[in-house]
Amino acid sequence: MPPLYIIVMAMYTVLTAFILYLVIRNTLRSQNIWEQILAIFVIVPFAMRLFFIK
Amino acid sequence: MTINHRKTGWAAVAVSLLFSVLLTLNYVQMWKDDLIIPGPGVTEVKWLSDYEPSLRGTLGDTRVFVMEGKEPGATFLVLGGTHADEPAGWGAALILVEHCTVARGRVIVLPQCSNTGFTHNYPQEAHPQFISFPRPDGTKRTFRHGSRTGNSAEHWPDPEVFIQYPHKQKYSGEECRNPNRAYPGRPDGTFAERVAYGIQQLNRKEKVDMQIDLHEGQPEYPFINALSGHPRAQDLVSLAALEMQMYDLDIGAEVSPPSFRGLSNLEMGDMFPDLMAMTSETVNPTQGKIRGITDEFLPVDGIDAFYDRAAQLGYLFAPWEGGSPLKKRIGRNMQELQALCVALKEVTGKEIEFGRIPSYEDLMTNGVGYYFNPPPAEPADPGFRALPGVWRLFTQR
Repeated sequence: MPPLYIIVMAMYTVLTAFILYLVIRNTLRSQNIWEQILAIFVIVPFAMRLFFIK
Repeated sequence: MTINHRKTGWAAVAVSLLFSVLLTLNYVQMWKDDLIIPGPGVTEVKWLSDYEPSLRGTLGDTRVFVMEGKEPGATFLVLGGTHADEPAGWGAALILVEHCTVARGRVIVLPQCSNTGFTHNYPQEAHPQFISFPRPDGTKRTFRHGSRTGNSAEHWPDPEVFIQYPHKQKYSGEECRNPNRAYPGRPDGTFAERVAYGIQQLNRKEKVDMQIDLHEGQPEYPFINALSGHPRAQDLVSLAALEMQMYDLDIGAEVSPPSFRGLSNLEMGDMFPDLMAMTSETVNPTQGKIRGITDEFLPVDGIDAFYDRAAQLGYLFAPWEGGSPLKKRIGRNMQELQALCVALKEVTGKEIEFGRIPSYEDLMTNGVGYYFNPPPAEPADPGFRALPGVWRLFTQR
């Protein structure tokens, strides 16, 4: 059984990946270029969070 | 003009991922150990994990420099970098390691006591990641400018309320990553408590007689330019303050409040009846809340127009003429270390004597970089000794 913090961390990582999937999917479907540009500010911190895998 | 939103969408995603990768690569540069070049006074280099093995392979492990004098004497533990954004603390400890020698007794130095604090900084406070010191030969030495607390990647997640062990004092959740609330520490506690436990074990095994934890505080904070000691060390603190006044350096002599738990001087002093444990503070405008432009020069030059004005209005708790440059703050610490050795002999009869050590005047004349050793012409990339968080599970052997 892994430590509790590893389990919580794994759940956060899955959640982060899911949020990224939603944002990227919506960015690709969007018909508003400003919405797509603003998505950059959402994707960057979530992607960094995914890379660090706290 | 018709915009192809599918293409612009992919471009936005590509730009985002590029920024994410670049920012990540920039951030992880702080995970690499600083170059420390031991001087002639260092007789042995150990690791904190030699005292607390659970730290091995983590970013909490840190170098322990032993400086043994030719003559026998007492043991002095110098803790720098307990808070990695307080460069006068770790800077003074680094000068001990790189420049100084010990004639009598033994000095044990941890320049980066909270190593995990050096692996990240406060970007939203505009704190620099690195600060540099030019040397007289034109080269420079660069060190990480970290954070007051440990890296959240090692200590994650923070609790809502941190309950200090063993006194059950309540602090805000972030303080669970503050090494100076984690003493005396325990082997199965939080990450900071394990680091503190390593210091406790070091004290026990090396039979330390005197310990100083070098800190800094903001200019509007009442406890600055001060030396605080365990209640048992009050005679020593008072004598050291008098000794400092011989060099025209005013320093407050304080007693560590018994209701403020988790501090190195109070907890280690309570635990070891023969230990004289103290904490000192110098004035660092980078930590202050009314500072102006914050960049890599502010921690070193210590010049700030907003603090000039605050000083004129009498809002500061320390003299501010000429700002608070790092050479002045480290100079105070170097003079203080010598004053503590004089006071220790007066109070307990135990002797520690430095051979070569710069004075306050020396620092003010030569600057900080003068006391660092020249870097190698082609410094090797230190690589990643350890990785934090989940990454450690993939890299630890």
